[in-house]
Amino acid sequence: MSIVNDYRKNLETLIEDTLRLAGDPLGERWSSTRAAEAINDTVLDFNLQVQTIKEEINVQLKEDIFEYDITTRVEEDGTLRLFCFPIRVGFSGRNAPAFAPVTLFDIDLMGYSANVWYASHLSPGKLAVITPSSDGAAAGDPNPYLNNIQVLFCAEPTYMEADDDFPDTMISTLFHQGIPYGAAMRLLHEGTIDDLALADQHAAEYRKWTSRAIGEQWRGDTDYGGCYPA
Amino acid sequence: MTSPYARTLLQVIDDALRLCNDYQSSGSDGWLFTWSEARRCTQDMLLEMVRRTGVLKDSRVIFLQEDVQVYDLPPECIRILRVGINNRTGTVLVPTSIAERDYEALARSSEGEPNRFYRDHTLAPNQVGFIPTPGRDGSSFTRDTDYGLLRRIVGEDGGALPFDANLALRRVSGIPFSRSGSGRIIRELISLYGNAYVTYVRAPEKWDRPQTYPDPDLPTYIHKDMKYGTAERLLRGSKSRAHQFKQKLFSVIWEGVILTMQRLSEHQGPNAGAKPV
Repeated sequence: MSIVNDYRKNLETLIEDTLRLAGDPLGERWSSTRAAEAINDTVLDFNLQVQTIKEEINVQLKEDIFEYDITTRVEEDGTLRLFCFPIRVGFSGRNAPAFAPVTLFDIDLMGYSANVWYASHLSPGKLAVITPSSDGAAAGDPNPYLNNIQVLFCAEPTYMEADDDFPDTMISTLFHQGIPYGAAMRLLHEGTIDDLALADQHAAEYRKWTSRAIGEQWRGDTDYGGCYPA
Repeated sequence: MTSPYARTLLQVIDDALRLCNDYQSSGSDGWLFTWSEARRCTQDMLLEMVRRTGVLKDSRVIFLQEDVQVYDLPPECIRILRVGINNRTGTVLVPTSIAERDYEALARSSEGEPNRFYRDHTLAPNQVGFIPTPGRDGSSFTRDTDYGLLRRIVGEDGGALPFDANLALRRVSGIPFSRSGSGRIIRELISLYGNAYVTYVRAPEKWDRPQTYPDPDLPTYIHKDMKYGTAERLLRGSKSRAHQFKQKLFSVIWEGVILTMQRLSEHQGPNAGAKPV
């Protein structure tokens, strides 16, 4: 019996599918390199819409320091996929209550409130917490999560370079076949009016695939259901 | 570590010229559009994107002076988001205008601790005024205890500078402090007390050189789509009907891209679904 992963598509297969959908099965208009770039861009776009690739980082809080640059910390960690945007800010480990998301405007209107975070008045990649009154546990402590924040974030997919690379493991195999539509659309935008008509068809098909993936990804119907990615 | 999804100016312009059916070779002029035209379009696109979405933000201390009502904003400021006084956790100032005071027949300036700010047409575009006019200078330095343990060094912008209290005392560039005598520490910190703390939308760093990446605070995930923003600007000058069609298509795509970026950059997590992001 086959398992789902038997249906995975590697980069070579995705390139073939993309060039076929772009009306260029022999690769006379677009090289494999350009098709691979379009495929990687599509995988990133797919992830931004579906928010399927996630990582978590423990950030040590410092007394009276509000702002934390998460992008840089993730880069310095070196073991995590790169940061896109935050999803949840936990506090003191998985079993403790999380910090609540607010905007600075909320705080100005309603007053200073403990155990909240905001990103509203900061550039992307940073967030602020209110407010550590003492340093959180250091890296070597028995409980390194104590009094620190754990940022769950949407991350960049692993980049595919070799022909036998597969899309990021956190992208379900069920949706690999939707990727070439987005990639072909991107290539066809460089073409003629006829190409644009074909690109439009592929755009519609690609939208269907992302919608299906969002449905799958967010099917939990939990309390978090109010925040479907648009 | 640079993301593999990051794009240099050269890559963005090459891709934009491809979209315009005018790509000759990497870094070269096209038949219809020159490379420097494409670069200008890219720079205009970036500035307009940041102005509209306000994704790049920064904060700065404005040192208040006695009897001075109007101050220059930082040169990179596009739009003020918030003004507070006495550091960022201090009182927030509410916006007003001189017209409001004129209607109420109030003097333009009275003296005291500012509780409002204005940025109306009586000022130059890069200025901000405070009401009441500051009655005293804001703190500039605080000389702290002669004895004790140095725990933290804070820069002018209120952010902590790299410093490990467990290591020997180090001089940090731009922050004056000195150590003398046995165990005696004199520290001088720039204090935010009595000064204005302004948070604003800032202009992106100018993207000029081919091999460089755009402003590092811009999320990498938008790089792949910048070609659409550049291309739709380039194509505005073309009379070809195919180009006009493409221009419309790409402007719609670009519009979606920047709205997505704005939404994601202000993403506040699943529990913030009702927040106006």
